[in-house]
Amino acid sequence: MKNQKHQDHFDTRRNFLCRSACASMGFTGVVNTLAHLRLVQSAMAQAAPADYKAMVCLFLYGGNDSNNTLIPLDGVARTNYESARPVSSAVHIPASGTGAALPLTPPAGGFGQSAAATQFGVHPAMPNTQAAFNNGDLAFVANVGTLVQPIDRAQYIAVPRLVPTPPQLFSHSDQQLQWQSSLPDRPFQNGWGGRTADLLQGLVNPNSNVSMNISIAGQNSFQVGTNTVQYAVSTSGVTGLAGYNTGTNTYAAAATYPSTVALPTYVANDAGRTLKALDTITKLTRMQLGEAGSHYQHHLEEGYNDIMKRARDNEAFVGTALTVTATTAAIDTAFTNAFGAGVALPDVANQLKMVARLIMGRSTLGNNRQIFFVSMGGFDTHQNQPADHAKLMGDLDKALKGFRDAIDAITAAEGSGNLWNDTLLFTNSDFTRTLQPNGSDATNGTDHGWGGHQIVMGGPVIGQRIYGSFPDLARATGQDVDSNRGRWIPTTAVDQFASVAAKWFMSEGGIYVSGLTSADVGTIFPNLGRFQSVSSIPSNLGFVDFAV
Amino acid sequence: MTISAQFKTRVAVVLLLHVVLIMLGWWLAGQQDSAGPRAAITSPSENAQWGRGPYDPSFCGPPAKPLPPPTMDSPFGLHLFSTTALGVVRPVPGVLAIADDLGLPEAITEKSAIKPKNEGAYEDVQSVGILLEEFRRAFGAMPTGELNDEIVRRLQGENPKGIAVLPKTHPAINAQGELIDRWGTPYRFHPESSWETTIRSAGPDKKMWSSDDILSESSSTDLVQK
Repeated sequence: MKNQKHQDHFDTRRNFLCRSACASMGFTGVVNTLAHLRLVQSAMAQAAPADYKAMVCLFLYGGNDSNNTLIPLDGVARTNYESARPVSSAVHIPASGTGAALPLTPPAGGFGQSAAATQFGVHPAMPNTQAAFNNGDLAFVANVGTLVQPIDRAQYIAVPRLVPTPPQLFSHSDQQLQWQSSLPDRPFQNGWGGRTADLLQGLVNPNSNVSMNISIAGQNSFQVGTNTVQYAVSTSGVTGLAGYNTGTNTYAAAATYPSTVALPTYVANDAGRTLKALDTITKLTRMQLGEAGSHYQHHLEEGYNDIMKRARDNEAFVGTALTVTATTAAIDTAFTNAFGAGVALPDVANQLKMVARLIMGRSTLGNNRQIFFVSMGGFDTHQNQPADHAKLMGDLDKALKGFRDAIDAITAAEGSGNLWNDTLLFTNSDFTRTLQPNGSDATNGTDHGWGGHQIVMGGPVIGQRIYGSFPDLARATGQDVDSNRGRWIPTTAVDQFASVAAKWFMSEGGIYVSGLTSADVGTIFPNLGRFQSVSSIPSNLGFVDFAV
Repeated sequence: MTISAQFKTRVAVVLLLHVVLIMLGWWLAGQQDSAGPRAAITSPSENAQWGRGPYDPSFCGPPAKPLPPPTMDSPFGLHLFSTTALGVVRPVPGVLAIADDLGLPEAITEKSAIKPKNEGAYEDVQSVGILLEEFRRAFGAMPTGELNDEIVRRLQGENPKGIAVLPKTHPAINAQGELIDRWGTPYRFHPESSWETTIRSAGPDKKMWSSDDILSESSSTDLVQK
């Protein structure tokens, strides 16, 4: 009996120790370790993909009025459109006659949005978009927006509201951030482009020379990763570090930094002398240790040098990639033809031109997968919308046309393959705008909305389709929020929209790249499972042909 | 046997002392900090609620539980805060003075003994800006929405934390529930970000986007791409 009692205590103590040991390791620690083991296993995966893929995110800052980008021409949606934007309204776009929407040709079987409308058109300033749609190069995804969970109007207006909504709806910077992170319900840490690069870099880009994420629109949240550092390029090329000389030294020479501390490397000004002095000091401390490698005495010195070296390396390789000039003229011509001779190209066209040039120089960059970020501003059309929005739509239309033709020009120059099939471009925007304008004359415009329509374009896109679920545009009912202005509750979450593009990016020939599984999609889009199965694509969102 | 009994007694006393000390510490740790600026203008029970911090750390979460109604009256003889559909709101202390500063429509001020404190419409717009700032400080972010009546409802307490900085009724709120300027035109609110909302008054011509519009001062507008 006594022994039995002792035994009981012994068991309890042992159990206690076991539990303590487990607790000391920590559940999160175990998960973290497993995750790292998984990453290690992934890194040891067999082979990197042999193909090349470029994903281009075009962000329309300010909130594009997609109600006037993709316009219903019949059905209940048209009736509701004309109710909010009557003929007397300056933002009205007619279904026929002068200034009418350019009709889209439905595929066999129709657009599949018959509940709302059977005929659609695009803004009259977008003839190239109309042609690209009808040719099967371009598609729309309707009513996409930030969501925490699926929510309908009844749930939105319920008191108390038990289904959470994204914080700070209708606010510019918050919605931009949520679009780019796809995680509206948590503080920003990284963008989904950054998370994609974090996951893929080691697997798909074994010979990488530069970051997988290149921005031509400055710093952004979309490409922020935990390990991935985005590299920003201007529309005129690389921006060198001040003080370093790129004029007398080639970019390739710059890449040998930090072993080169020769005088010609630096510009003969104060910035150059300061840099030379700093580099000399850090080099001397390294020599003091008797180490010739990139090992510095102090962590700060090493950190500083890592950043400088990375910047110089990126500058060198991207600069070299841009010296591939064989088809630069053809790229220029593509954009000039799109906009017309003598017309100054808008910034977005120059950005897309730079993307085309970097795709052309992809062998120097060494990446099999590349993510680009470009942007266009001015979409916050509270006033003067008719004129301003028409200009924006026209610029967007021509820039997309120029980009498509530029990619074809590169393909023609290379003489093999089809780069267009390796390119996927999609738009994002803060939100769409209220269907009901804030006034009737041409000085007025529209205000902030929520879910909007996005463009997807590229060889892999199954074009001539309208994906998602087009709202019936009814106000104070249907998909409208609690007002009567026409602000659509999204029916497709950003996670769903983006995950289709990410799955294409993560695959080769219709299957995931070696080392990746559908579970990794859930890593990039942790909230995706709230809306759909992570491992599949809903039938109304399958805008990518994975076999292309 | 006796020694053993004494030993047991000592052990018991020491244990009892430990228990008392632990209970004392526990009790002290649970005390609310009653000192502070809020104590002077809020009731002890309300102060205790403030001391507990936000009810819901997530702005997108469910609304807060109803709280006891505060007893404050507006200078216009109307109950300052009232029960909203989301429950009973709680006012931000000191908000009375700010609401008092709001620009009043001229039609009202001409007949009323109450005159606006602000000399010009520019100060009126800045007063609305201060009201929004007060809301931001209490709530943690600017009110969600863009339409005037929507923003007013948020400021009146229809938000996940039930925080209110604006009376339910006020001469500067019209029948449509919109906050109006001294010419009777509803203000326009433009949410730049969670920390900034710009305010626009249509000015004397009552027409938005014209040269006499009056805008609130903005510190971060240039940082937001749009």
